[in-house]
Amino acid sequence: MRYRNLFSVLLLVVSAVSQPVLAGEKSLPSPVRNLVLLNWSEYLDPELVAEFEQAFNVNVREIYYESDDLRDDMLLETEARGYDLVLVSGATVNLYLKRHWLAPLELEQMPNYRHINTHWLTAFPGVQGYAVPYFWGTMGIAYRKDLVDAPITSWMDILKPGESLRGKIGMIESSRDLMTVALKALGYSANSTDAAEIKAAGELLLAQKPYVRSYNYLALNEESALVSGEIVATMLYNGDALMVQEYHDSIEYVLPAEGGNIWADYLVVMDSSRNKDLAWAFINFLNEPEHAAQLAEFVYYATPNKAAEKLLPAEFLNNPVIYPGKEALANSEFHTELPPRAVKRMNLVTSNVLR
Amino acid sequence: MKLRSKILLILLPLTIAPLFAMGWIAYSELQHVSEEKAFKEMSAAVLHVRQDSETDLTNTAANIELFANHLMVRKYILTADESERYMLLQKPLLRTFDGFQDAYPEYYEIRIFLTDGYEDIRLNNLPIKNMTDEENANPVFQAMRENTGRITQLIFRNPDNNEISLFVGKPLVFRDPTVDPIGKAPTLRGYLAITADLHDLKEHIENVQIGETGFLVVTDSQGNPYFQPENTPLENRLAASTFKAALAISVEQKPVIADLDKQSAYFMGAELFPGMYLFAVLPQADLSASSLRLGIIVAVITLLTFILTAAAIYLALQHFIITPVQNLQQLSREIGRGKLEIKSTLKPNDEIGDLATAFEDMAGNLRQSDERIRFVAYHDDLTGLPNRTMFGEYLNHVLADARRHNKQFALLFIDIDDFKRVNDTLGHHAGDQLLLKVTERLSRCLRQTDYVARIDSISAPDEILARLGGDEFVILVPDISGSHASSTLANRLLTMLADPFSIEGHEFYISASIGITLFPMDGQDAETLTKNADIAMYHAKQQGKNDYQFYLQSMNVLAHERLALENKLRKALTNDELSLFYQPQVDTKSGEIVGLEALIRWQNPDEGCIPPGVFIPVAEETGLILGIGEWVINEACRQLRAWRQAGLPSIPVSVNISGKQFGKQDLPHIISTALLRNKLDPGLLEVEITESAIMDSPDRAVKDLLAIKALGITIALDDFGTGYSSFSYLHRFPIDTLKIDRSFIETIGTTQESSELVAAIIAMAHMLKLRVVAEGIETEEQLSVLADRDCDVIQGFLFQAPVPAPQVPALLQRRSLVSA
Repeated sequence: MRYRNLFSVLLLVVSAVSQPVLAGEKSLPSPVRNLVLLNWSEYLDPELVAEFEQAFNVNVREIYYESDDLRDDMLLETEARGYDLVLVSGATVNLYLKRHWLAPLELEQMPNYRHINTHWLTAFPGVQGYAVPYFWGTMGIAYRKDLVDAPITSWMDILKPGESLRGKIGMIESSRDLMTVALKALGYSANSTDAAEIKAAGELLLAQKPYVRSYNYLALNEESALVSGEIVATMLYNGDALMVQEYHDSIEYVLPAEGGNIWADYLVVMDSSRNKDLAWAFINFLNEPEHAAQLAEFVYYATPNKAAEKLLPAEFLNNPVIYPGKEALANSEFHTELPPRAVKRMNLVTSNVLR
Repeated sequence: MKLRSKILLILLPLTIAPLFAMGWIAYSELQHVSEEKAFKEMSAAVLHVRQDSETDLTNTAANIELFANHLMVRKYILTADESERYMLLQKPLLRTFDGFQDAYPEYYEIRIFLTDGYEDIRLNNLPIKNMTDEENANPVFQAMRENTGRITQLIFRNPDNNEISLFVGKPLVFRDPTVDPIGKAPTLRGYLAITADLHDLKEHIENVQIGETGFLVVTDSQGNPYFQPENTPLENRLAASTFKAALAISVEQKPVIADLDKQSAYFMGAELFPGMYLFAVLPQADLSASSLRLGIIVAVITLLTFILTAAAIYLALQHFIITPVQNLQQLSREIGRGKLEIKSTLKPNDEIGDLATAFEDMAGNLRQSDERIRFVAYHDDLTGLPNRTMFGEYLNHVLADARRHNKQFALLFIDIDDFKRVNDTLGHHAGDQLLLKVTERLSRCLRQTDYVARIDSISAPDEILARLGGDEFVILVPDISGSHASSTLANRLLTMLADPFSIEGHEFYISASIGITLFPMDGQDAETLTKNADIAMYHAKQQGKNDYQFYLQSMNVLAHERLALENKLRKALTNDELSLFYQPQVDTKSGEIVGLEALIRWQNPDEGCIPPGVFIPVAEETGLILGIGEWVINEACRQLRAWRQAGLPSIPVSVNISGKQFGKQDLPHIISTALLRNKLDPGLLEVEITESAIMDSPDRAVKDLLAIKALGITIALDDFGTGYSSFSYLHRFPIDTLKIDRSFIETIGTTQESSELVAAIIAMAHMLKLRVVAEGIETEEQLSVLADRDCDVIQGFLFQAPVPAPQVPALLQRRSLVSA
């Protein structure tokens, strides 16, 4: 009789334990997949992300970087493992390609690819077949027009500012971009390989150091240093300037007369990714014309998606900040691939500035 | 002085020697210690730096190992494609290097070389321009390359900044897992190099000081200085020999001595890094300087100690020895001079003090000895009486005094009869006993008993008893007025000695023979007097012993007569041999009898009538006067009563009083009793007292006279002019009558002056309101002069000689005695 009691207790216990397990197996849907995206912050409309997540039952994990160099560091650390999608600048694509980090595009999985302006597919080496254009823009100076004596027109205005701006200048950590600013300010090409020019640019940057408040990328929300006035003028990408302008009326963006750098960002899928299909799905999703337009309006940048352009308001399309005219672009340059020694030189110079 | 010098001469060298020895030992010890200390300092400095350098080497090696294995470094060097390397990997690696440099700022240059010597990546934290990227020719690179598989550490002068730096290089040997199969050996990909600055070392060298002028210097392998302090004498490089020698010794050993430019110095050395050597340099002058300083200090201390010690010794010497000794010197000198009543100022708290006390004691003992000697010199051992010597001095003293003041004195030589008999019979001890008892009895006879004759205090004219020796004694009786005192004394002595002596249970009878001499009669000097006394004594012995004899036979006779008289007088009163005669006193003008003077007469059955002039002095000397005097007063009063009862006119009677009665009798009482008994009016009695009698004892006389006066009795001053009174005394005495002495009366008529003198006396007496009586009138002339001069009362043979009492009534009837 004792044994019977024990047996029934055991039965009860087993059924109690197994219930949720069984229940789980029955009612649980398939596990949610993660899509890891390495990107700038404020560069992707969260609404779109949510929409995508909902539609595809995906959890999009966004990892942010503050500069190209930092992004490179992060990828190097793991040899690009752990990331599915990465937002890269055009100049970097070839580098990643050489490193065997990139998966070739499966265009069949991205029907919306056809909307993209092909011009951007040849702008940088290695892009074709591996990278999908995202946005393009310029790099200029965003400043508080109410806190300067005269409107800023030149790179020199922030490279050699007046004493009133000491400690109120912002710069970007990117080595290429810093060199671009200095070289352009000195009238040289942003892609100069001349040792003396590079040296001169380096000296200029070193001399500027005391005036610079930060080399960290500006925050783009209401807590931005430009909004508070802690930074009066800063190197900034054009769309970001428009974004931060939302928080303060006196913020202006200028593409200096000497010209700057025209950049283009691309999305690439990592070769090590196990979610390539999701990655392509995401890229395709983003390139839906309505989505692309929505995204463009969110980030204030020029979209390479022709279909999206048609959906954008005239106001947007006519904004010279977003779509600078030919004259404005006249002096600006794309970053080209430089010979290694020049790169090394630049690296050395900027590393001295950034230490 | 000499003692001090002597002691100092011994003590001082004895103190100097050890002091200086100690000083020397202290100096050499201290010097040795100081040297040791300096060398220790040197070795400590060297060790410290060497330690730091070793640590540096160890640390840089460890660090470069760590750095070399950093992921970024590995990725970088394994990326063969240059552009990939530069574009993608260089910036992160630079950031990594930056991190290293944050942690170790002294690693001012971090580089990676490719295998061919190309400097692929470099990060400086100092603003240094790079000379070249191609380091293939650089000897440093070559050294590293040759040092296959190992970490290279060497010192070099960086051509980029001309600084001496530490180069640390490590070959980067990896296997590329993406390319190489598992079994493949790792290959050299390049080199990681760190250039570390030696700032800390430099600063340390520049600032460290050893001793006063010592320093550290870091040189290359040739001795050329890399780092040294700013003002060091090391202008040129270290001499090769010095270099070698300094490195040869270990830090525990003593440094080597070598020349440093122009001076001599200690050197100690060690290798810091390959190609870098450290030396500690201490110029010898430094040590000598500190030695000198030390030496001076020790010398000064030694000297001061010596001076203090010397001073202390000197003072102690002076205070404890020299001064006390001098004190003692003084003391003994004084004792030598005879000053025995000394007291030392030294306290008896040490040996010298004790010595001083001993000196004092000695002086005291000497004094006592002295006194004892003196005593013994001057006193008889057995009896304690003055001895012959002292007696002689005493005699001289009394002699001188007697001569000066015209005094008389007597010497009594006393010899115990048959003393030998006692000695022979009973022995000498008994004989001594006898002498002592004799002394005692003799002393008792003298006025002064229990005396102790001291030579230095002979002042009182007391009788002195001395023992001349054997059984001979002598008594000196100073200041006597006649021979009877001495004869009386002699009698007393013989009587004293007549009683038996009890000696050792035996009864003994002895007697003495006494010889008496008188000054000035029997001699004028001591020798004569003593010789004559001796003769007199011998005479006494010849006369049969137990007797006394004067030197002068006449004296003896006189003495015997005197004695006889004395004896007779004793019995006179009881035998009714005395009677009163009366001599009338007559008024000068009227001739009437106004009074009667009572005069004592002695009728002895054997001798007949003995005049009062003879027996009164004897009576006064023996004390019999008291009884006689009392009898006179009582008799006079009785007689007055008898006459009154007989119906005779009352005529006052004056009685003579002897001065010897004052104080010995209660005269006022006797007189008042006599008056009362006889129921007499005090006016009937007059008392006559001589001037000289009063002057013998004026105070007592005044007292009694006043009392007598108070009874109502008149007092007459008898024999006025013969005594030594003065007018002031006359005032004091309650006198009513002045009786001019007969000597004045006798002279009246002989000279004019005598009459004037009497007249003057009378005048003075009258001025003093005294009645004047003239005694001894015998001539008419005297009478007339006295009458002339207003003398009140006359008395004398001219009128009437004294008559016995029965004849008085008839006299009174006649009344007037003046004829015409």
